[in-house]
Amino acid sequence: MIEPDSSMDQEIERLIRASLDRAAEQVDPRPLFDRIRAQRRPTRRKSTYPWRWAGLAAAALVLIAVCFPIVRQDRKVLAKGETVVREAREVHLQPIDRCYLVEVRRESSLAAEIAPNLPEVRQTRLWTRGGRFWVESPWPDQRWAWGRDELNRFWIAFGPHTAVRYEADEVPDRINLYCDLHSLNLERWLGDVLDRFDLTREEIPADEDASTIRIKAKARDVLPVGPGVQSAEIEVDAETRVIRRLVVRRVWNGQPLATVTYSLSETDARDPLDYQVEGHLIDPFEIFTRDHDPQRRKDLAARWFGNRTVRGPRPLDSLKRP
Amino acid sequence: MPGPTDRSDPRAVEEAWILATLPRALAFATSLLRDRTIAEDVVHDCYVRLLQKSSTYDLARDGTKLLFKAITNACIDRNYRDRTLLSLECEDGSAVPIADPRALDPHELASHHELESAVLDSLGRLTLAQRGALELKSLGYSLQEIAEALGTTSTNAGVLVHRARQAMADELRRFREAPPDD
Repeated sequence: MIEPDSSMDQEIERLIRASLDRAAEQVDPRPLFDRIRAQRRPTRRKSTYPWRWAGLAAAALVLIAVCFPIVRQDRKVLAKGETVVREAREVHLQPIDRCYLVEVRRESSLAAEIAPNLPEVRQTRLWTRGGRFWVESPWPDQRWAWGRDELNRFWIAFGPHTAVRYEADEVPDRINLYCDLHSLNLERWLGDVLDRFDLTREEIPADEDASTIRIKAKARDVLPVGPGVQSAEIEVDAETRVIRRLVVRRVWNGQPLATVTYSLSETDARDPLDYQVEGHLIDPFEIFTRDHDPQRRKDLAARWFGNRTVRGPRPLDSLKRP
Repeated sequence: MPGPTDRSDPRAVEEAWILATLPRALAFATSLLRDRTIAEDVVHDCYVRLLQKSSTYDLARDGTKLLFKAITNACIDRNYRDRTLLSLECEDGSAVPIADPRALDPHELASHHELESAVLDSLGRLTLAQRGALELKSLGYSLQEIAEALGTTSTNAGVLVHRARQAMADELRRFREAPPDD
């Protein structure tokens, strides 16, 4: 009989953690998240001085009587959807690093064909500044990252010591599409929204939180061939005009491909090296490139995306319709 | 406009935290209760209760630990309540073995995700407290934190982890002793 020793203990814990991770990757958090979100109500403190309520109620009545006509008038001059999106775009032009929690949910078999190794719903953390981005696991104990640097080179760090990198001119089409699904260049994207979408600002019921502006964006035309966006829901902070949440419905050949939800997690100033593969590696490390063991690079990338995506036996435009 | 070191507003931070922690929390609760629907209810209640008091603690620093503690407690309560209605467990609290994987055809065992299935099966044969203790340990919790989550002492938490590991090691022994390929 084998007595549990320290290496066996570690191995068992690693297996259990991996088992929990796999189970977590199969979880679609959205339905339960929506339940929790719906249940949450602003908490009200119980007053220890009931007489205060009478005074407050009287004051509120006076306030309503005085302000009601003003509020009605003010509603007419609330910023339109286009104005809010334009202001949000200005805010996102600033060279600030923003972190979004990204949830990509497959809506058709095509998304599975692009990256067959990935679960139906995948969550990641996305750091973005302009066209640069990098993605990491939302769980700190999973040490992988991938992204695109300022030279448009695509890279994956499989841990602290091994990585692959593709030059901009050799990134397979499917990986480009995959990047497009998971990344977010807000300044460019909001420009597209202003040019090609009909925007509607949602009325917020009086009893709901007014600190968020909700805008629905519907594409005037969806390209019949290739990737596109059919519609989006944008939640903008009413005060700062920062985009807090974005739900994008992506299509391929006019058919649903995936729904991607971006939720703002934090804003910070990151080291520019974080957007390069070297920023995620520790000595000694090896980066497999076009010039350094390209076969090994292909094998490693195939583990991540699946053989078909990396080797690409068929070009993207020959993919079946979903 | 946010400055370079600003954090976003509390509600957005809370919702991002929920989304980030929810899959693992649900996987953990499902593993403890072995029932996804009940696990969803438990996890839902724990989040709602925790968020109602979010102004009293630092969500980013302590939220996940408090959440897993609340889930562990709720699963134990739920399990105890359900056991009084319909016992699916042996006298000692371990789950009734539905099938003995050692009885399976070796070819069938080898065919698909053998080790993964064995890990899940072995976990399923532990008591809920052992399973919770070992899973929390594998997620990086200290014995003191596990003890708090389970409502017991550190010593007892250590015993639970040790016994669970030992049982798992016995169950998974055949994978370590696999004969070399011919």
